Amino acid sequence: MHPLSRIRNFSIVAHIDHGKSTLADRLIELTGAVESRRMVAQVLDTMDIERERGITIKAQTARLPFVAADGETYTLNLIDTPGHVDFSYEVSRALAACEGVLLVVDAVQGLEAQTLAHFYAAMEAGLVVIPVINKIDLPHADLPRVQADLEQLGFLAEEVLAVSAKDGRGVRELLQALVDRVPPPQGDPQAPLRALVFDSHYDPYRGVIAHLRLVDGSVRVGQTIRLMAKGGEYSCDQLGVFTPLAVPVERLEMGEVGFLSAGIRSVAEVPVGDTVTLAERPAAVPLAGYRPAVPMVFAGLYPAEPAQYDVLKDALEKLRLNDAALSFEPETSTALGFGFRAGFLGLLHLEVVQERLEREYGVDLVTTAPHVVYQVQLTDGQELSIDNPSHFPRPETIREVREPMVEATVFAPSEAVGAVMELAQERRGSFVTLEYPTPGRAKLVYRLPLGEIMYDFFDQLKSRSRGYASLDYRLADVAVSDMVKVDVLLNGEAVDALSFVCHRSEAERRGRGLCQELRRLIPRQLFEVPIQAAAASRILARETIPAMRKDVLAKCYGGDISRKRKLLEKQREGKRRMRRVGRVEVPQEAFMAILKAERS
Amino acid sequence: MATVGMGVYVHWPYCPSKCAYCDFNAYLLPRREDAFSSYTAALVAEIRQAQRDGELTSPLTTAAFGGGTPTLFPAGDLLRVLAELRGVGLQAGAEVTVEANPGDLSATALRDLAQAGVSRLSIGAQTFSDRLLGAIGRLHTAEDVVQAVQAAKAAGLARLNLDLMYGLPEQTEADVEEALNRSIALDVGHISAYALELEPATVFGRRARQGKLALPSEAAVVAMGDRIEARLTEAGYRRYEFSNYARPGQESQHNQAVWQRGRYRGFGAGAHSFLGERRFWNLASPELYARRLAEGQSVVAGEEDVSELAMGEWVYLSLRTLVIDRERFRQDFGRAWSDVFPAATAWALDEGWLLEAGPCLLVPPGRRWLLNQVAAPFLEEGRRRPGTLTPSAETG
Ligand SMILES: Nc1nc2c(ncn2[C@@H]2O[C@H](COP(=O)(O)OP(=O)(O)O)[C@@H](O)[C@H]2O)c(=O)[nH]1
Ligand code: SF4
Ligand SMILES: [Mg+2]
Repeated sequence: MHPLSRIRNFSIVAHIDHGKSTLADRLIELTGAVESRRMVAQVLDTMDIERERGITIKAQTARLPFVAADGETYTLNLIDTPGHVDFSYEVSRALAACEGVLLVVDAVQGLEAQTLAHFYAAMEAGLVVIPVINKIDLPHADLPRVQADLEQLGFLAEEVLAVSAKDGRGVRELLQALVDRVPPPQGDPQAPLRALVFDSHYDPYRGVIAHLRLVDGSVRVGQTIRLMAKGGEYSCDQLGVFTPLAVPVERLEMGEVGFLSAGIRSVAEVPVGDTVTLAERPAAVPLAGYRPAVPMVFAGLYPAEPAQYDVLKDALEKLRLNDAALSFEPETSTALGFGFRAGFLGLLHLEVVQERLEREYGVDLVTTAPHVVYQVQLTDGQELSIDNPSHFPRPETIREVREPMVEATVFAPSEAVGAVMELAQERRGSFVTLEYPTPGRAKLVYRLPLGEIMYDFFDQLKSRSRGYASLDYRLADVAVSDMVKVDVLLNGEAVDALSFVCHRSEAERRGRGLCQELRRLIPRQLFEVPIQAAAASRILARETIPAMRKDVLAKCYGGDISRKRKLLEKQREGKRRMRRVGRVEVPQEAFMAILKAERS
Repeated sequence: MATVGMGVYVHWPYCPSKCAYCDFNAYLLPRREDAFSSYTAALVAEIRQAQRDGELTSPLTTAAFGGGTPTLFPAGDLLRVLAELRGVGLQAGAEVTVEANPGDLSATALRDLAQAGVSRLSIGAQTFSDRLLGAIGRLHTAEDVVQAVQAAKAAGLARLNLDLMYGLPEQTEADVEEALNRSIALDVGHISAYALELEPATVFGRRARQGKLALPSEAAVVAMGDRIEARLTEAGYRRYEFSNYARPGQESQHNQAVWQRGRYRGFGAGAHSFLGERRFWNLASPELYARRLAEGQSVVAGEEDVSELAMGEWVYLSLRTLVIDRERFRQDFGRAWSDVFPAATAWALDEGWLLEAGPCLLVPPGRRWLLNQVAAPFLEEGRRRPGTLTPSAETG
């Protein structure tokens, strides 16, 4: 059907906002894969949240027919990649499905941390990299500088393409470059099937749709497939390609990109990175690089109304069908009642899940402050994995605590290096390297605790470098650290959902910050409420919410009964949404207060 | 209803300047010559419209002219509206109150009003400190208040009210004490004392947001309010509503009717009406209001069906008088109090929010500053339609 020599599989990689999605739109439009009247801006970003936030969360694919200079029609398979560090494993799998990448660089911003991270990842994967300067239509586009920066990375001047994804300039040349420079897929069409799962999504009617790149062999509708990571076997009931709309086909061959459905019930059964083979003639060795999704960040998810517990449970289960990286287990909090401890790839992942639960499933959520997992060794030799601060053991029983560390790469203008180093130092970072890959731009590598960079590190980085620094990080290892649990006492009672773990040297400052934030957030009660932060039964900080003395309307003015009465009812409604902890009414935001306290 | 009659309210939306705390529907007087006359014509038209639409069925037992500043209008305009109200049933002996600002009351105007049957004058004194009067944007002095009271008495207006405010920026206890002493010395039958409320869309609201308003602490405001109650009680006034004090027989019948959830029809820009099941309010803009009426159109801007809220609202309003008469409730709704508010009542009695005294429930002195806290559970429990939900134990 498609001679192998006329297939090109490629991805677009870019630092966030450099124009990846816009360029994908132009490619799709120009090749006529989607009629232009059906073009919605950023066709590939399908989730509402993706469009609103402008972040690609799920990878998508599109098959683009392109008539090249030689008059032949080529099939260009575009594999979109997620655009956020939380999803870097997904990016690496998408890259493994390609032979080439378009490395898109903003003509104004130049190279950024993720540009480099993507570049090195593509090089490691042995892909052909085509450097593309985008947004050349912008008045401040600085082509010579970006060109020079790219040459520093080892590209030849004549290799660099210049385009405007917005007005389409240079895009045809770019398509031709894909044909000319990216090699056709190499593999063995006769060998047993080996197909890489680089993404999957859940369809309520067909079950899981796995997105595949066939590396060896071929597959036909009706054959029994085997998933090599978990060993499950299924009958293949549909195959197809994305144009980017799903179009069924009878078979997929070596080198092609497409999708498969086989009555698989949850994406966890077909994890990204898994290898699909045939049951009757299985491959001996799966493709390299499979790694189960490891949640790095944990938070408690509770229904705002206890009666909504089942709705939340149901919604989480449905989300998990489509999100193999999401994990959750029931837990109980004395303050919040029945809920779940859920694990996420990172903070963005958490936010996306939160938003989807609220928006798509109508669940009103209380989320506790996100936390990393600590490995705790007790004096009796027991090893614990602590994903909930309130379960952190008593200090006298602890021999040693290990916390997850990341290797963070910061790319910043050279004049911001001092500020970045200061920030990294404040966050208990240890210096690894400092390089100047291009003049005026520094690449700083630090080893940092994940728990320290989770919340506001990126915001801080931006503000201290006046917006110019960028960040990329990957989980590195664990380090022994002197961590303590800080408890918060409201009106003398410890509130489990407010406990947090931090480095001993930080306990007092953070405890104080949290108490202050809570004083701001918790409305006055009819009695005075002391707020205390304590570690190892020592009080670190104390604030007091004075008792409410006065809550009365002075006047029903001019017979306007409705306005003030409604206000009162609204207050009442707000109160109903609060959680009662002991005698104290606590608003839901209070459980996330540690984040705000950190930021101030 | 205990009172079978109905009240009318007439709103006069202009003021000579805007006070710093005021978010009433009041506007600076427009330059247009005919602003008064066209507005007054509109009032007359609205009264006729209400009459035609059968909204004024019962005898009109009280009338209140508020604002804004009613006395900024030529006395003839007020009299014309009053005459119109007489024509649609305002009774001969009815209580007719006019709000006035000290400083804009001429002896003749006062006499004309008294002759036309205005029986009460409510004077916006606010405070007797000229320093504070200036700071809150009032144009008059303490001396003007004294003269206004004397002029009113001379004109034969025997029932007088002074409006006072406390909790003003930089107001001291001594300021409050002085206002009390001088008000009592003026021998008026009625004194209203309102705590300042910060409204967002006012000069004070804005300054407060900028952190530029030196307000007395909540404890200080409470102390002022308690002092006012003690001093006025000692001087023979009875606190018959949270912010209102009167000598025996001097209570405002119009306001009492409002707190008893009596019906009233409000005329004028932004005026509110309550006709039993339905509350509605007029367009706020005086010019738009006048224009619509000139074209014979309706000026209703919004409405709320409060039939479902009736019982809760009844309690909410009653609480302002610090006494709930359960017997009156039974007469008004034909239902036993204990059937409608079992949970809220149990909670309120248990926690000391209310005390039982025969058929009545009283708000004890220690809880008066938290009336909203008492009201909320009753509003909620009263909202439930009979038989739809069993009220759950209230946990305030
Ligand atoms: N002027 C101009 N703006 C562009 C161009 N390409 C993308 N943009 C804008 O840059 C922003 C980020 O683009 P997007 O495609 O979402 O970036 P992504 O985060 O890499 O997917 C959007 O506001 C685009 O409209 C371009 O060629 N010229
Ligand atoms: S006089 Fe009364 S209505 Fe007019 S601005 Fe002052 S407070 Fe407001
Ligand atoms: Mg995007």
